[in-house]
Amino acid sequence: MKFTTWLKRAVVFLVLFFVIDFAISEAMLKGLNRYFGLHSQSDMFINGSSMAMAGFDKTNLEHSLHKKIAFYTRTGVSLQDRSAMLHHYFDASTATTDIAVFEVNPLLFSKKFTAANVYMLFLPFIDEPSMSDFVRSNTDAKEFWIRKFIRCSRYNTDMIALAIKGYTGNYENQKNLVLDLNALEGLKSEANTVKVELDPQKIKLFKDCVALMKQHCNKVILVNMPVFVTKLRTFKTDEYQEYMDVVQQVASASGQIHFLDLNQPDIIDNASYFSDPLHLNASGQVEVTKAMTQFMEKNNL
Amino acid sequence: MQRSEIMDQIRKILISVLNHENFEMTESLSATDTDGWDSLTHMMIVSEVEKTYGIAFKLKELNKMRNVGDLIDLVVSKI
Amino acid sequence: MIFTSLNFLLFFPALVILYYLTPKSWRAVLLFVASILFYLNISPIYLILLLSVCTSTYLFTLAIEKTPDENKKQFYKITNIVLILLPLLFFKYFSVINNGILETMSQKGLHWPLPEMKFLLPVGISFYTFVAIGYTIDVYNEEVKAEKNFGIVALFISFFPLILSGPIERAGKMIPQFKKLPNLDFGHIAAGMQFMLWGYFMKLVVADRLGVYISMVFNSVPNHNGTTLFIASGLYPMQIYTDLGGYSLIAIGTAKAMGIDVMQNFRRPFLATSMADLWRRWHISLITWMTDYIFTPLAFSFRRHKMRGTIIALFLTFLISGIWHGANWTFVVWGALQGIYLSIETLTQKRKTEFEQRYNLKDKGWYIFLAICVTYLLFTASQIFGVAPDVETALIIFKKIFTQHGSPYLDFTTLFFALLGLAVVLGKDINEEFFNNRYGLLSSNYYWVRCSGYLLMLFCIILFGVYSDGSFIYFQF
Repeated sequence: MKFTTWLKRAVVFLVLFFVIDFAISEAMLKGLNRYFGLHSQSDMFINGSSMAMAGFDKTNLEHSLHKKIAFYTRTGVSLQDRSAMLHHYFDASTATTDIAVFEVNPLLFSKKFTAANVYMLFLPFIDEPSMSDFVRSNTDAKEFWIRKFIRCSRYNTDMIALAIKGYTGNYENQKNLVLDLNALEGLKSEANTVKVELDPQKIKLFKDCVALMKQHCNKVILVNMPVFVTKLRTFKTDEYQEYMDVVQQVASASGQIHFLDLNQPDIIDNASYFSDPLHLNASGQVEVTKAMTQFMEKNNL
Repeated sequence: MQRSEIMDQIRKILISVLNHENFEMTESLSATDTDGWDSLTHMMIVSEVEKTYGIAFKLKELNKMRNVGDLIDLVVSKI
Repeated sequence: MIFTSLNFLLFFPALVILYYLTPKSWRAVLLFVASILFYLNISPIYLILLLSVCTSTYLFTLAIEKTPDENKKQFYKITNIVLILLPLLFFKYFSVINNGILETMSQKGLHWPLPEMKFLLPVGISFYTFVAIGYTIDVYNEEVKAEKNFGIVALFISFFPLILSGPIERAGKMIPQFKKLPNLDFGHIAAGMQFMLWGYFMKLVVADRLGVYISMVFNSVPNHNGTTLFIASGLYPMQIYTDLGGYSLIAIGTAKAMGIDVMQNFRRPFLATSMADLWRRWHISLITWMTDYIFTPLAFSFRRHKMRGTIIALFLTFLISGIWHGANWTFVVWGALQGIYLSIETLTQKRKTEFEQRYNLKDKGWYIFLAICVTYLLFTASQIFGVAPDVETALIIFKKIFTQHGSPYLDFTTLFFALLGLAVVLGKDINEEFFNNRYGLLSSNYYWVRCSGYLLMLFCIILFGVYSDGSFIYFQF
């Protein structure tokens, strides 16, 4: 083969590669943005980890509240990750979001909560300034630039599935399992043993997040996601109360901020609402929708 | 002894060990063209040849063998 | 760096460009330096061991060729083999045997002077040891001339594409190539990259994804029923095929891009119609090595015992093959099973040939299909001993498969993509085996069709490849 022929073919191949790479990644990014409600206008914005993901049913909540909801939750995210998510969402918003809903849970202020490769969840957004810094700080230069260069490398099968869901308008993510109470017998003996860490740095970060939400939204609702009663009782009572005090103090600092504690007996005592001690199932979601609706009506939100 | 006689004898041995005649007996015939002539049957074939002519091969010599022609050369050199 | 690391993806293109820019007489040196750097990047401490094996082999092969005394030749051959085998035996088996003795004796209340030990296996030792032994024996058998250039010998033993997982090559094929490296030929680069594409596809899209499901099942055998275990066991040979087969293709492609030909390691193994046929298609470089250097000498020694001799040689060869995989009784059972399968086939071969000829079965499609299925089942059964951590668990798995049925645990997303990828791989195999490679995008005569095939595969690898163990490492409360 002549060198010129080879060169011509190689150049065409590379050009085709990068064009297709760009096209596919843009298509998927659009789907993801739709799925999470990014780069669009919404009435309500929910941010959380897997607990919020499992606990809120976006479609039914939208129906019940008559509001358009941007549902931006990812599994395994820590408070730092969620702070980056907030910046990402607000930088991308096309207009003011009326209400911000923020999941809180007893391990929010834990120092030990590390997630080694959670940054990979946010690779598709690497071109946005807020996310670019976040990803860069979580990995080395080599990986960062390869991801920037080859756009499709930012995606995996899970994200492709989410992008498709964004296009088809399918937001179902409920689990249909129910708690096996026999398997939880061991938890009963662990009552009042688990430490609830209150790292001052995390608390400061939390306050910054709330301030950011206040800045961009009219109202902020802090929601204490349900934990199954046996599991909730494993936390040291006085430390759990300290955690609640911190959150409630932040909530009471401004009339803009509200606090909804979903750890109520009618939800958390009922094993049939949970798929595992920390995550609600489809039935549990119905209860949360009810509770949210009632809360918002009561507070004229 | 004539080469053709040895070749004929080897043909009989192959048929006896492999239980078929689906091969063309020429000097260039090798294990790769013959159904069933593999490492498992090879030593049995070799052993029969040794017995027939009352000779003993060395492993080095067998390793250099590529086809029936080489085998005949080997036999000729030993008898 | 392993082939699926980012480092390799940067190292390899840089090396190829440098390789063709280097004057021909210096290319072998470049390859040697690259191989050393490659090994340094993975296992710096054991580089000394690798170089010692190269040195020992170099010196002893020269000595074998130089001396006219037959006894001295034998002595040098055996000495080198023992010397280079010792590290392999030590690292692979010593701690297992030692810990086994320690446990047995402490159970009996006796004292064993050595403590419990655990060693990290030097990377590639199972492979380069065999390459070196093969070369030594080849020189002794006068199949190949002892190479006088140390660099060439060292390059042959440490050649970076092959050192991690093979294919296990022979001096007669590789050394002449290293001494006369070819000119730049874009055809070579294209062919090499085609091999690599398939290799990455097989490994990243199929093997690693199947692995997510299969390891989930086999890591908690007590929690799964027989049906799930049956499915996972059935998929396991596919996982090894795409894993080791894929890795081999990357190795072969890497060499090919530099104009060096390396033997095929897998030849459509699951289209085999008998266990003997399968072993001519599966891990070919290892099995031909075992055949040439263990089975043939044994069978030669036992040849007076006819069939019995062949079978004993067969058994011993497969037992050794089993143990080569690892120091576990499961591998001994695995090896024994292969020996049993092949012995039965050898014993019944005559009658089988008669039967097949009488009814003209070899031309019948359904017969071939049946043979393929039976062969696969037999192989799968033996592979259960390859995946179980111990013999007891393997037997439990068998028991459950036959007695404990129920609705299976299936990870739909993972299995969907894995099986889709597997269908592509098997389709390629069928195309090559039965249709002489007539179909398939990559074998088209038109560049643009091939180009779209390459792009399709590349994007499948980037999008559907598994690049982590599939789970997040986070502290769950």
